[in-house]
Amino acid sequence: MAKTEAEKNEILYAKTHKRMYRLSNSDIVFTIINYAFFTIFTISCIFPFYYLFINTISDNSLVTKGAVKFIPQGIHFQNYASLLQQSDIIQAFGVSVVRTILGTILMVLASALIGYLVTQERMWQRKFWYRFMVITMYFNAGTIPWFMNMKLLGLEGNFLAYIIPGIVAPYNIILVKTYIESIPAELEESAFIDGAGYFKVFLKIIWPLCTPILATIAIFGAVGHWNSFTDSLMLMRSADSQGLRTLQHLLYDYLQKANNLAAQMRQSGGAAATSAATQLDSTVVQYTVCMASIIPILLVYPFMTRYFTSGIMLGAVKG
Amino acid sequence: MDETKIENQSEPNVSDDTQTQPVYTASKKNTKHVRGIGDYVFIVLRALIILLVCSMFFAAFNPAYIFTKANGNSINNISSVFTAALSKSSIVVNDISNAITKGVLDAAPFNTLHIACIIIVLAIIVIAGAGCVSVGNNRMKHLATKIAVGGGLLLLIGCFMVNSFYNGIEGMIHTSDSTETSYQVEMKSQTNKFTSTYLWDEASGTYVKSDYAYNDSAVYEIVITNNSGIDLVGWALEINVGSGYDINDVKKVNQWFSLQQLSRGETKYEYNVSYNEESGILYITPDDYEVKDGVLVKTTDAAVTDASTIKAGTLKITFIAENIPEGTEVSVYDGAATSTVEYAYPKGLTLYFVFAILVIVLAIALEFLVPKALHSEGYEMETQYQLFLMFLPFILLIFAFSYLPLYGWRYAFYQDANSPLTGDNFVGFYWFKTLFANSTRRARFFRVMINTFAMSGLGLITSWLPMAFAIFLNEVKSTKFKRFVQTFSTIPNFISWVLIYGIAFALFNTNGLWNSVFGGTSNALQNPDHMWLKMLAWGTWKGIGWSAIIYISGIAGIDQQLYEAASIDGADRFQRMWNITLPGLLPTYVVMLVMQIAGILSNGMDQYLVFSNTFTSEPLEVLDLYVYKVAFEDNLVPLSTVVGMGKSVISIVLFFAANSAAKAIRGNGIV
Repeated sequence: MAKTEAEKNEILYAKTHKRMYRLSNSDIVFTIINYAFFTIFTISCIFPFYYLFINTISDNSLVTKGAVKFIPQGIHFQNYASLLQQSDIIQAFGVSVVRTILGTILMVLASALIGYLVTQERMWQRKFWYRFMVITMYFNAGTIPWFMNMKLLGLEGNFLAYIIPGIVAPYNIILVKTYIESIPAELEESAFIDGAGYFKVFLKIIWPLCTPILATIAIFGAVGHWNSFTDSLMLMRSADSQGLRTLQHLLYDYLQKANNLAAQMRQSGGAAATSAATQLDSTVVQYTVCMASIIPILLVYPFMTRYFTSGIMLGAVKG
Repeated sequence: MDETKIENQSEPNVSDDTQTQPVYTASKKNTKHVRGIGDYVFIVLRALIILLVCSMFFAAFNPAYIFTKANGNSINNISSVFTAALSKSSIVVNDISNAITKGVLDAAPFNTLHIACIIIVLAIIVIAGAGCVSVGNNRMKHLATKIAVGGGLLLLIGCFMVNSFYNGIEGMIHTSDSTETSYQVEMKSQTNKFTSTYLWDEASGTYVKSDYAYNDSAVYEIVITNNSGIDLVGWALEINVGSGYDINDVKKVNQWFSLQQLSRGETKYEYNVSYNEESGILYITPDDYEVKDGVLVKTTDAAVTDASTIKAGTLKITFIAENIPEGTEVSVYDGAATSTVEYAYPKGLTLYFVFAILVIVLAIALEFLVPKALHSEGYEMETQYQLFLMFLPFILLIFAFSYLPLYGWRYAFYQDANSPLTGDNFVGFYWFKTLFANSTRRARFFRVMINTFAMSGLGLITSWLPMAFAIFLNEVKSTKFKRFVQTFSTIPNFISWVLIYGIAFALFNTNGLWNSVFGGTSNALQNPDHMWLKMLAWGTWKGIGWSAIIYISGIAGIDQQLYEAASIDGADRFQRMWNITLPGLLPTYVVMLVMQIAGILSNGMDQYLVFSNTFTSEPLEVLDLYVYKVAFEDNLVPLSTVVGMGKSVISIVLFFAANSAAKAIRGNGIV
């Protein structure tokens, strides 16, 4: 991959700094403090996840006493195994996975198409419709009118409520639009000359060229879907729709009443779960469910880091 | 919501000045044609179609809203024909289904009604399709008129089906004849079976166990035999003791009943007891029913419970009361028997009849008005409309999920969101005044505003932290270390607030890391002290790495020659940071700050909701959370709408102010 302007500048900056340095005392002190600060801060960002993880795989009786601090003790994976026996957790996991996949795919397809359409000068009343869409980013009617509207549209207690409202995501569309504008216009022109229609140009030229930005919005969209919590909280309240809760919502419910769950799991866990080391406690249950929800994010995280800068900078202010 | 949260951090450039695209004459040039009468008729038809599509989503035009009263309750019209087509349960609402269970209404015709709704919605979709096709050339226009006629006929069929349902209503209502023959009730006193005795204690206001026998009280047994053949859903037991009977304190009577729950056989249920002093009638109802002004009403939306049903056969109820005089009449009070079903011709149906006929008439007229298509002409459409039609489905989505909710603002002016939004329910600015009318509510609202401004204020005060983070990180020479910090400090941003709370719980609960390392048994999550600062700390921890990215990119964009020149002039590291890096980032910072000021009322509710518990909820209740709680916990939808409305209006004003500020600062605005 070719180096971007920013990266080149960075390298140049590093070089010039190296060349110009004459280390003074204050410089050394500053450097030490600076490194120390960033080391500590970064550890503070990683350690909680590590702590949570070692507590889910350690001897449960030690965990409840708070004895597991930095090193796992009495490693076992019984907690995760018991979690898999909880049908509601499996179901919520399924709901979250399906909504993330479906919702992201539809959002990406729609963003690509709309992003392309709004760059087409010839669209009827383009400016008006573009503003019609963009203004919704800054203005909303409020939580309750939104909720009553969802109810009116028959989306309360309906799985589609997770998918349909998220299809048009103005911010992502703007990112795609900006990206498409950076594609040389000649590519499109030549296709038109060869007799391709608008839709064909979109499919054969725009879509393949947009893959980087589409990957970016896909990743952010997927994380948004996975973490989404309030929509489930408000729309899946009735007794019939308990099975449609997302994992985050379920987790929230668990954190509220983890004690009940520990009792339930103790019963269903059977013989394997009865020894003291794997005896479930509300705290351990909370840790385990939390960790189970975090793991998918940590798994896609390495892929995400590549898209950070493009995601945040595309279409953003240039200082 | 989370999605936008992530992205809000950066400020998008949404100006729509696309680089001028080369205008390509790929399709053959259309000669500018003068509008004929046909074109104007088409405009009328399209306007009609837009109205038709919109009407699909408004409850007021629902042709399936026919029954206004059933099972003793008035039925609220809150679903649209679109909802009715999607789910039958929005037509057969609770009270209707209760009436069906009681045998008052026939169930089968409702299937016809549901199918009619589906046909109406399909017809509207077909007509809308015709509207889309009608923007093409003459051949397309002729096709459109044919589709429109087809859709119009389909709509007529749907309307006739609803109409025939309406005409058949009399035949499907069966008024259940007489309560007396259906239910036999017998009440027996079983005095002296009562062993534990209770006495009314004025001081504590409760009955206390006493060693003295309380001779006047007795165990009563009521035996109800249900001969009607069907289960009785929703009932009240009417005990007419006559107005001469003095139950000196209704509260005492209630107390008696709650002392020993009423039981049916082995199972005990919760029941309501109410005493009407004027008529001397004592009502016993299952706890989801109530007798209001002599009418049996269901008080919850929940499904009918076992306790609310008297199955065919015999039911025994035992209860204790003060000595009820001989000759007291006991009867079963059946909601269905006393309340008739009421219905009215749906206004929506008339509307759809008119629409259907108009569409058909206009379409047939257009068939003649539109010039005959040339033989050589294929199905073609101007590019601008092709592109627009591709966008149209998304416009509908945007309309349905971003603009339609605005119509929900009307809830702010009505007594109750679940009742029909009609004249009697209209309360004007009542809820606006209510917000400040009562001192408890006023105090809560002011507390909420203080919390909101405190959290936003703290956010503003610390808004420079991400910039400082970026500047100092830039001073780290090792690229690897820099990348390492950047990668891991952004992780928390991608973890939802629920999970962050899970982590906070792991670290700070009684047995958490904090206590096991430092000793003690404190639980920071249940300690309301310094809650604002704690929230700020969590927010900063979660967001700083992510927010810093925009500044890090900003630093990379600063001209490197400036640093070289400064170094040659003898500027040390701090001077370069202060005089080059900082000024370079300042415009970005100011814009971000302005946006943050615009969002001063929006703290989001996730963070505060998950961290709230019995001890900490007061300092955590910010405006967004308050709106949620008022609606979902206090069930005051109108009040919540009022607050949300105020918030939306102020936010948009602030946003446009911020936009002009940003324009003034860096030349171009955000929108």
